[in-house]
Amino acid sequence: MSTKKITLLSSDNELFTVDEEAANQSLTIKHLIEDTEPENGVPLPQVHSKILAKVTEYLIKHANEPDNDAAAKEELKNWDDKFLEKVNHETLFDLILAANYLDIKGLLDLTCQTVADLMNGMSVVEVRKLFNIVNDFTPEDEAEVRKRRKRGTKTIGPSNDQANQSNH
Amino acid sequence: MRGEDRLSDLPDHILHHIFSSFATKDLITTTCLLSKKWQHFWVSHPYLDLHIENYNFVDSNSDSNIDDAGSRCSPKFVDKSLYGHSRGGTDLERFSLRWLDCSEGPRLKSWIVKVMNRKVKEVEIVLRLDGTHNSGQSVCERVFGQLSVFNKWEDSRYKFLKGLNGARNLALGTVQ
Repeated sequence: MSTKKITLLSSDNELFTVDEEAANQSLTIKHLIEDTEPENGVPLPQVHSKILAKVTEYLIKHANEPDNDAAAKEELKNWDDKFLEKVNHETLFDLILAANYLDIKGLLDLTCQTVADLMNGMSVVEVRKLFNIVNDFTPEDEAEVRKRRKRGTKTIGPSNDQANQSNH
Repeated sequence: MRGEDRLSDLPDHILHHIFSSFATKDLITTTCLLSKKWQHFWVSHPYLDLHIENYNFVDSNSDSNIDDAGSRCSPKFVDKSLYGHSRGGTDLERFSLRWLDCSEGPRLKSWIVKVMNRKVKEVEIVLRLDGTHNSGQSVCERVFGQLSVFNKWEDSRYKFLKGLNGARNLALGTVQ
């Protein structure tokens, strides 16, 4: 088993070293080091050290995913929950973008599901507040959308193109 | 209070990923009134998760609270979700349908043809067959990634399901 080390370089020039096996969970990194390994670390200009620290923490923990060990899987799941427990929205969204850019499926699934869970059971007003979404409907537009939705299946469909054109 | 709307700024494919676990009705309820950007988001959402139950009630009260139906929807709603697109609709990642009191084979067939045309990758359909046709079957049967279950289905009404070969993952359940 190789224990080759890979060095990653964050956007603010901090270096992080992880085992190749951990790094390879990121398909982006895997492809970057396939041909030639950069001498001064793999440059990741889109990821700040603050986020890369979290990402490498995840990669190291998930480097040897258990296949059939139920207890180990449970432990890993608990670890995942804790991993994002105290993370603020700012960091959570940065992690989503980093997971997307680095192409780490497990981390993208985990962070996206966390955002979905935050919205679970919330009203429109609550979701707007949670994520600072500005309601740019005029009261008339909003009443119209509400009305069409309440009318349900007859008019809810996207074929109602007048809705696309009326807002300018 | 921070003012940045990080959610709306995400690329669409990530937003679809985030909402992939939402029932279609819940997705619409949650998103279409958030802001103008979100109004038609659900139309291009490649995950359809539909649960039909007691639809006569919903259909016959067209002006009353459709919200009261929760995550459940009517067959008309499914029609609209699948056929409402002017350009035939985007490719689908997953089509999930639970319709225990399904009595409309042809309608179901038309939906399956439609989702196949939309290159669906994953299909999950849970139906209840009436007693005369599924006496030999277990109470609940699920099959992933293989089609052998269809060979057991003597019922000609559902023979068309064999056409789902293109889907990568397939789950089919029957409930008694």
